[in-house]
Amino acid sequence: MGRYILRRLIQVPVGLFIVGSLAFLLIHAAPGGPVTALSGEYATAELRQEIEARYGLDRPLGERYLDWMGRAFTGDLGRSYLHKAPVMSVILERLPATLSLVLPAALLSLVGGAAIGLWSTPPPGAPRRVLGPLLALVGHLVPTFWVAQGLVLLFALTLGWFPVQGLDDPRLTAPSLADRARHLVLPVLALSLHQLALMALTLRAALRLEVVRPYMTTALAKGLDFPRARFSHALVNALQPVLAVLGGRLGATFVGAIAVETVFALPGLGRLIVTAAVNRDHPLVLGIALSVCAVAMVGNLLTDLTMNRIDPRMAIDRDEAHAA
Amino acid sequence: MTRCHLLLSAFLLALTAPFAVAQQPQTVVAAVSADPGHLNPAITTGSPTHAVADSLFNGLLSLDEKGDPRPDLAVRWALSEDGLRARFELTRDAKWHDGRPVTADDVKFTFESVLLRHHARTRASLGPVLEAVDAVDPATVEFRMKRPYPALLQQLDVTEAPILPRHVYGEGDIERNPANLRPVGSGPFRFESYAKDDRVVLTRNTAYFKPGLPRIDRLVFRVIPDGATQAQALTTGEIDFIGRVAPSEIARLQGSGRATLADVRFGPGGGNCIMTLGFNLERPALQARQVREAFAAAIDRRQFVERILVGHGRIADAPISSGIAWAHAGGTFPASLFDPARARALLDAAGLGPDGEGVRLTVDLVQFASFGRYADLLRNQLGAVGIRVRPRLVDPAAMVDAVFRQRNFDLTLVSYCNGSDPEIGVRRMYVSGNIGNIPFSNAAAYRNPEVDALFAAAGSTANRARRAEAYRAMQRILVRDLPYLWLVETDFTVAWKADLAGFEGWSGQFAERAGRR
Repeated sequence: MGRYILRRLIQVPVGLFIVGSLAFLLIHAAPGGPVTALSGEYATAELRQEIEARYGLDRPLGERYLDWMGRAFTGDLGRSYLHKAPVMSVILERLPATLSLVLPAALLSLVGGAAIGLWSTPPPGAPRRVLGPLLALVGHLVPTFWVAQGLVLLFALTLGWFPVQGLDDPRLTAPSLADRARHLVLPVLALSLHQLALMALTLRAALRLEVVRPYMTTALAKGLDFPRARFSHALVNALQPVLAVLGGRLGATFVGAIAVETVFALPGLGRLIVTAAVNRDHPLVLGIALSVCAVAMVGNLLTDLTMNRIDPRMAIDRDEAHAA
Repeated sequence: MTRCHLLLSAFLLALTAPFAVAQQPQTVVAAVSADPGHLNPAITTGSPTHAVADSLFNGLLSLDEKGDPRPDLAVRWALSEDGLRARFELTRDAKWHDGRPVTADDVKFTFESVLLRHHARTRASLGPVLEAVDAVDPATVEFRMKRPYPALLQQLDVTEAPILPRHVYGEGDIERNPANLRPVGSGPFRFESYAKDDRVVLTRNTAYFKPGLPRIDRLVFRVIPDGATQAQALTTGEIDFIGRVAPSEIARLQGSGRATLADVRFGPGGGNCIMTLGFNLERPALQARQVREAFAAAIDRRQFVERILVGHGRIADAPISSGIAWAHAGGTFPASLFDPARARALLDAAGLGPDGEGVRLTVDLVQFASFGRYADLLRNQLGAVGIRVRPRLVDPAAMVDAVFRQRNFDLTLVSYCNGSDPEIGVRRMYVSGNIGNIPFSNAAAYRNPEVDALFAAAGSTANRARRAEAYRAMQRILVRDLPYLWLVETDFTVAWKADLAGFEGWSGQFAERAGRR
């Protein structure tokens, strides 16, 4: 087990090197550079050259790549051209907003998705419950951007229950938890819907296989009622494929966060990467790519370890055997 | 179960209950479309920085709604007969936010060490003509010019030339000065806090040198990138002011009855903008004047005003904006040019007959994705006479790269802002010395020695009548040569909550005089 974790951890820098190199190539293959955003509309040729010299844009690409990669491996992601500050601090400033959006959304999609998944799995032989899965399917298909707009239209503009945008009310001079919660309801709903639907659909599919297995018959024969047996026996076994699907979808959540942060004007990472890319802020784009990738790799590792915990027959032991 | 329901409804009630606690009555929340990044307006022309930071600083002068100068830090000014010297007398009441007095030395430092190096527009306009700035005494500065510069007084407002305190910004590399994030200015508001991508909070400068101003206690800028969200937030009362309303949201705000709307020709960092279609004159197919005239005859500019600007702008009837009234040669490029039959005849005469599908000519159109509705109209109107347009909608960096560096385009659509004087924003798009890898320069690659000479003549005298004559002659030549088609003059629409008043939407210091109605 220890060796397995060690080996997986060694893979992280290798993966980051590959992703970093690809991202470097991609961002430099995009037409145009940061000069337009830095010089503004009325630049002279001289000013353009000065900007290129100041940020080292006049050096050969290979040299810039080696320089950047060398620094990145010592933990120095460089300075953002536009924010005129270290990349890491620019990223860390955006983290609280993204986390206050992503974490509640993850929790809601897990719990809500599990509830719908459980509810729409009837005992074998009973009529199928299609309403939950149908709604989940629709929720899974509608783009997050639309969901967000729809929620604003209904709950903010028509009913006036929640604010249209922001993390809190800038007129309040002291921060208020209730105000913050009120501002987060619609964005969290919008972001979680997609994952919630996926959770419900995968769990239902997995549960339908589990509820016909002999251990369920045994549990029911011992006198357990169906909902309880479904919850305490079938659910644990069905969780495994669900986690495998959800654990690998961190990237999708991030893409959803871009849309939600834009619609609700939240100061998070999703919006940061859009403006960084549009302005060709190379160090910042690369820094975000590496950070997101690192989080995703660690997330995958944690998922695998959790799955091993749920089902000890999982791959790790066999992996070890092959490795030996 | 009942208890659970009770708890749930109590929770929901708590969330939706209106909050009456600690509401500050004199806070104004203004929406800005992008994060400023930093708050030093002297080292950038970026509008996100200026939209916020201009309220923290002052220029020597400010501009009124028509673009004419009025006092800011300077209370009196005088130009010498020969136009080579300009003297400014500073107010003695102005203090930096840290309490130290504003002096002529600060002005000298700001121009010579900061603006002429880092502020792209001021560098391009004043750089070639400014000899030196002298601090005559602590309250008097004199500008010495290499040659008369007619647009000087239009270049000294807080957006073009914000004055910085030397004792704060004078040491080391200004790009890394910590005060770029914790600015110290002299303006109506002082800096309180900045949360990136979220908000900038400013508070009233109680020691401001203009008596009775500002009238509001707090000015908060909220970063809201989406134009629709901005408008929605204004109708629900979450924000109070929008500096540039997206054209698609104007009707919604008008219909809400909660906002006051005003059209201005200027905004911080640009004004008197003309949406312009540029021909790449290096492409053989577009070198015949007949062909370019056919484009002019095929385009119905009224539709651009009606459908895209929904009335907030007008047909550009001359190459120079009607906002610079003394230089504008109105009627030289009239709306009556629209004549599709004539467009077809001109194309026939140029040897561009229709093929089997009715297509006479295929051109690409490289432009910002945000101007997509212009591309749609152009494609329809030009398509009707047999010119097939292939739009390439890209982001600003890619557009600049394709048009100005690679010169890989047939047509391009650029919003050229003329500014308050033709020297600032008109010259750059026509003179032959400004072609090449420079953003928003002479996109057409138009070369005409006569036009170069007229710009040189108009730019080296302070005599407005002689300048006007040169600009009028130049516009007649441009309309004859048609390196560009001037489509529409676009206005900025500003909106604020109906119970407020006094906003000056054309100025960087838009909230200096704002308050309750």
